[in-house]
Amino acid sequence: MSRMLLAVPALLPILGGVVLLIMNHFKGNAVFRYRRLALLVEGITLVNSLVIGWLIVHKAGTGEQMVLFKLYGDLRVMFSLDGLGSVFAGLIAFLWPLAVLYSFEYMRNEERQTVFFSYYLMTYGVTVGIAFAGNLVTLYLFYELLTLVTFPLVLHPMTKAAVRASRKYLYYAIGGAAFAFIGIIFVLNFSTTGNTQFIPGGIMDAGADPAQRRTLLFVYVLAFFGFGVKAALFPCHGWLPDATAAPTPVTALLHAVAVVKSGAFAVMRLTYYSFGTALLRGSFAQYIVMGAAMATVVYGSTMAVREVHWKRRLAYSTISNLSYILLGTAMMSPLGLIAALSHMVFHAFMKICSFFCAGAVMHQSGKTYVHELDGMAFKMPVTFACLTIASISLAGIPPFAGFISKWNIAQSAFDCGRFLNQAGKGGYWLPYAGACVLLYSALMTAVYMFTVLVRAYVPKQGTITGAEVTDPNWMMLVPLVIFAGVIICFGFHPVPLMKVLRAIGGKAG
Amino acid sequence: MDGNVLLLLPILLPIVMGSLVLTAKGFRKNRKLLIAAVSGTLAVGVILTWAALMTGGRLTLWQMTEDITVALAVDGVSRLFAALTSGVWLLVGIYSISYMTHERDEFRFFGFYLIVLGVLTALDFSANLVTFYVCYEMMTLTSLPLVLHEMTKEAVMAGLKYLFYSVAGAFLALFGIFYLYGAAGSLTFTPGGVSMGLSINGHEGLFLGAVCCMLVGFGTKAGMFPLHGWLPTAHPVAPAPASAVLSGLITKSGVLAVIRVAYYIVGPDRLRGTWVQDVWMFLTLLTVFMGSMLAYKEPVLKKRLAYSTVSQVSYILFGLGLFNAAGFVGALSHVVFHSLVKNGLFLAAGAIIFKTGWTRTREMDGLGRVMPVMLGCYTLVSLALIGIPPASGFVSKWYLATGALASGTGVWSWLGPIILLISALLTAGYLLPLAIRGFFPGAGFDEGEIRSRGLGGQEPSWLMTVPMLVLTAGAILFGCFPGQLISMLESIAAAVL
Amino acid sequence: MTLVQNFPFFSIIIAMFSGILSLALNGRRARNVSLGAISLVTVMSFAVCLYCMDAGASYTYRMGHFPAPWGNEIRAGVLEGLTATVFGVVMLLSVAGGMDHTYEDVEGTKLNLFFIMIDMMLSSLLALIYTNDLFTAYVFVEINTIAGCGLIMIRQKGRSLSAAIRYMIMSQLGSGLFLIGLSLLYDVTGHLLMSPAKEAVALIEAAGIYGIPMLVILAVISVGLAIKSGLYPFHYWIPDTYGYATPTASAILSGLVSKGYIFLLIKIFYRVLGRENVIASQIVNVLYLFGLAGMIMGSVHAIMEEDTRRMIAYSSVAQIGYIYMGIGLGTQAGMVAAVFHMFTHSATKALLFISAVGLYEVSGDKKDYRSLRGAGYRNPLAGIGFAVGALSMVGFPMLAGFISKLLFATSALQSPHKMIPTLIVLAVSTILNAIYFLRLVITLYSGGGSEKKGKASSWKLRAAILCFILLNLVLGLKSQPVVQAIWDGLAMFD
Repeated sequence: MSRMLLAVPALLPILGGVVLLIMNHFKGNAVFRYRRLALLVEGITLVNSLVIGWLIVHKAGTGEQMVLFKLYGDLRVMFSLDGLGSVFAGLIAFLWPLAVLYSFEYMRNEERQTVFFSYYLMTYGVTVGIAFAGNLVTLYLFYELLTLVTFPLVLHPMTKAAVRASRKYLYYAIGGAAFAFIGIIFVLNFSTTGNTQFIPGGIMDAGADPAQRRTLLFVYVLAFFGFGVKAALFPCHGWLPDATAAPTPVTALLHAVAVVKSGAFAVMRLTYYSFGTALLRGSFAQYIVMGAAMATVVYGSTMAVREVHWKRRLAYSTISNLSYILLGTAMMSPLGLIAALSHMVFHAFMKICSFFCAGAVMHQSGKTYVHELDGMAFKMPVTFACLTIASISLAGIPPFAGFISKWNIAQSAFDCGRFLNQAGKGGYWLPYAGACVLLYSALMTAVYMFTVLVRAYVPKQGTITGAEVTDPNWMMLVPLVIFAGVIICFGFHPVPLMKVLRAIGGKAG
Repeated sequence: MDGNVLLLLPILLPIVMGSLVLTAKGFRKNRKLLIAAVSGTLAVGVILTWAALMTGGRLTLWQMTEDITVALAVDGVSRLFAALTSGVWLLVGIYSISYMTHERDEFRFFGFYLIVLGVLTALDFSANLVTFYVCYEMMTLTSLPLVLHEMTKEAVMAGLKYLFYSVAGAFLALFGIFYLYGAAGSLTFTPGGVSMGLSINGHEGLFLGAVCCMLVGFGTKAGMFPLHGWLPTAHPVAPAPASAVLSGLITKSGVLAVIRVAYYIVGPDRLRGTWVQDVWMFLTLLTVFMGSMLAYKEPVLKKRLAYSTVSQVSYILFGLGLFNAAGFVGALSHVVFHSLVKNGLFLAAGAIIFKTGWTRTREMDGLGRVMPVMLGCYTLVSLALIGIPPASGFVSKWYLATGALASGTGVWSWLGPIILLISALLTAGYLLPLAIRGFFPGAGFDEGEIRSRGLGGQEPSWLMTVPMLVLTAGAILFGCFPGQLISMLESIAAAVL
Repeated sequence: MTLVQNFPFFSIIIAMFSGILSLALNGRRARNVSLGAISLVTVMSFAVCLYCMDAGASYTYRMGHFPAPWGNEIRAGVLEGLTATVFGVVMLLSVAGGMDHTYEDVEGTKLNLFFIMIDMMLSSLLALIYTNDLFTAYVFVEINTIAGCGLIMIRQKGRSLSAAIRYMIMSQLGSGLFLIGLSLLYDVTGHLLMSPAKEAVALIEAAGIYGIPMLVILAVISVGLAIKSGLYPFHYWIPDTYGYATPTASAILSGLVSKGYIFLLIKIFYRVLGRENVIASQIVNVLYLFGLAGMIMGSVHAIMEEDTRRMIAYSSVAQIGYIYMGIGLGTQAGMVAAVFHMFTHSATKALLFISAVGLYEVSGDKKDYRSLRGAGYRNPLAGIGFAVGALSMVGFPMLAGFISKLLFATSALQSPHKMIPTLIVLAVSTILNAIYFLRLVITLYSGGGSEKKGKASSWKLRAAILCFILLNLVLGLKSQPVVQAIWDGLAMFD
């Protein structure tokens, strides 16, 4: 009975969202007064998060599986909860209720709110499905579903820009999944277990034939790029900046946390739990993916500096930061996985805090461009205080959380470089270059985040115009403050989390 | 936390008081309260620092990762820097009580002034490289508002330049820290250097490269070429007291960083005779020369003093790069002397601006008739900086020169003293004219004119003149009676070399 | 001989007689007869399928007492029964769903003719499925063509006529080539029944004579049937034909007719020419290449289309390419994938056409993108149906298309040389499919929901859409038994 509980956090929100949609369809928009809708959605979200919390504490790592149904032959769709999944699920479970709270205030005066919230809710369930997926096929199923439930959210404003953005998003996502599919087929065919289950260390049996090994490595690269589309890997990143046409709660949660982190998560599963690092370490595949991640880091950071629209700037920042995670993953060692996971968690908080701040400013004052923000910090002090913390952390400046994860990634890079050097591989310099790239990006981050802050704290010509703009109300402010608090907490007290991550990394790497 | 909690107090008190000043509305309304709080904190701060330095010991603050702690400790170098910092901070603080009346938003200035003191003290007390780095970055961020204070477009541009140069330098140094974490046995500051793991054998190139990165990166704060560009822009644009501490003390944090890296982590034995030393010599001497030249040609007084800082701090770095006792003593003594002198110079420049509004030296003829005490102090500290005995600058320059000649670094051994000499001449050239023309303006000078041109043109109040006098006295007396200071420095040198 | 074994024969006869009977009936009665016949045939075919699965072997059924080498045989096995069942279901739903449009498009007096054509189509499809001799095959190929033409023409609006003529010409070209191939085969082997013909072919191959004629036979039969089933580059007639017929006709033509010819081709490969010979002759590689080309080019043309019906028609070209790619892999696994995709495509394409009709209804009968904006809100069920069909085409998991993709990909892994091109083209094709199908889905749902619901479609249309969606889901989630049946069927196919 308790095993069935594994399926609840994924299915409950999906069902809830579907029911909401159906009721909306038959009774029209009048069925839900906004407050009732808000309470209902927040209630479901909170209950779901609590269930996830309980499951993590009691079920993680027990190896229990819950099979939903058989898709075809040996391919089962099933849930199971291990260390990696609990980290991701825990992260989502913490963030979602706060994000929903924020969205209520934000979407108060928009249209078709019921539709919006039903898809928002469904996305929660689907993302949990990805976290709980016990094998690659289940991951793929929920991965595709994620595209399907998030694109109506991007489409929501129904403006020309939104339509175009949702189209682009859809094409890229499906394209990525198509290439990832090739990877799944190969895993299925060459695995030692005969299915696509996630086992630390991978399940691939490369065989003795070097040509076959080369083919497998090539397919890994394809699948990396395929899953990497959702993680905004260069050159498949084009959808992310355009997706900022969606409302801020969507951009923030989905495209800075849920969707893009799902992509990174899928890459981690692919690398450490399907293909396995023993097969991949030191091969040309590792060089290619590491190089791609590095290129993305540079590209994202540089473009962010040049971008003047605030949300788009943050989107490019996401592209860059996501590839920090991918860079850590590409080190193919326990240290690398730990580093990637730490950045996954920390960046989620930093980026969602930044986006929510930007959203608060947009909501209160309508300003969207960086040069319009002069003196705003004096009108919205709490908001900008949170933004300051998030910015410092993003730039990797201690003592906030961002420094810890950058440190970890750099250390894993140096470690990988040393390992490759000892193994006599020619490309051992690449991880070191990776560390340099990381520092370059940190500098660029400082540039593009701090210029915003300095503008905000220095009013134009000493006057502060438009006194009617203030901090938003508690529904938007509380999540902001909580996120900033978490960033500070993790900065000063990261050791417990790192212990958990170390346990995961040690098994998998 | 375990260890000597006293170490935390001189850090925490200013930071807490500074934050209170920034946020509590009471301080904005009531100036008397503000002044009382600030001066009280500074005074108590000196006492607490003294207490911490007397008791010594270590203090572990928190665990950053499983094997890196954030910790504080007291050793010879920290004693020197912390004592200097708290003392000068108090003096400049008293000065600014009067000076800041003609600026606005004083509470913002004082708030950050106090916070930076706390952070600097933490920097001085850092026990390992990571703690140091944390405080270093925090110091950049908290001193930024001081540069930005005027809120003009110029100030913003200068502030951003300061920020980005500092951050770039810090990240450059971070690369070295990353490397050393893996290569070194530990990152705790140990006199003479820590033991290095086997991984650097056969990879000396990478190791030295990492050290060079750290040198250049940390050297940014100290205004060393090639990342010095921010200094002449940022220092002048801040209010005078802020410029004073920026030039006088915050640049020294860059110096402290270099000391810690070279002498307490990597160890002088590993660097002596390598290409890193050559690069070091080259960069510092270039900066010395370049800074002096640019100062000589600069018409705006505060900018001239900023270029002077660029030049003088590289004297210190030069001395450190010699890796022998004389050079080390010369460098550290120059830390003390230059702090005193540069603070004094900036305070004087500030007094001039405060009382007359003039910024260019051309305008300042005949100043001595109006403000004799202040200009007298200016003249005395200038002499100290130039290196004329018995003023203090002579002592440090002597040690630097002897250290250079004895260092066995080939061409630098003799080139160094030559450059130092040229620079001394240039220093005289850019500092003395103001004093001379101030006291002896020559024919065609109209005293009445200067009184009417200025804002009442009198001596500034005691709040401003007393600190100046104290600094001047220090600059001269340390020159006449350097014994105690020198012996303390020699004992530190013996420990690390 | 059990009753069940007679069912194939009964099916064909019932279908034919329904057609003849409808000559004398009026429209409504003809419709009832037609529907009844299709239902009956479906049930009977299913029974045959089950019977053969139980028996574990196929059986032949001689019609009349003409001995070999002439004579007339029917052969029934699991695959034949299964195919006939699927075709029957699709046909039933298409006819029922498109009924109201049929009434609109066709003149009252000619209504019974429509249903006669339906019956003829049904009977010829069944015959193609069950026949075991070449001459019957040819006859029913021609009957199929005529029925198809009739279905197109019955609309009697301008473009339909020209479409019908184009169809006729291309079809005849194909049939002609097929006939040439058959004649040559008869010449060389002296047999018209499939099994004896196969033995003769084996002897010829063993003896090493008639090398060139065999190659020509192979080529000509393949090309002929390829033209008729719409393989690239012989596909030019498809968009015009499928685009301008009535909804029912479009569904049947795109969903079933081309599959019937492919089935016949597979049958000839297995039962007459022999698999090994076919593979050895490199014809499969040619088919493979054309299949790949079709997958890409079909989608590329679809992307460029403004008229959505033509777009859906071009999509068929791409999907036929998939099937030929599967055949072209040359392995049993590839063939299974191809056959499964035949079923999938029949069901999905019919779903797409019927849903599209529902959408056109609420958009002023216009078919271009601009008019369809927001149609998903005006006709929700049709919108959902179209979305499901589109997602199935793209290969979304839990839908039928995913299983097809899975089967194609796994079978590709067994052919080392064709593995990488197949996988890459599969991925690219998915993206291309996504581009034009999902673009339309987005258009359907953009425009803000301030749209009021339009006039509801008839209950028949809606029921048909629902049934098709269900069928797709069943094929997506419960495909194991079907695939197993196909394996068994292919095993007993030659």
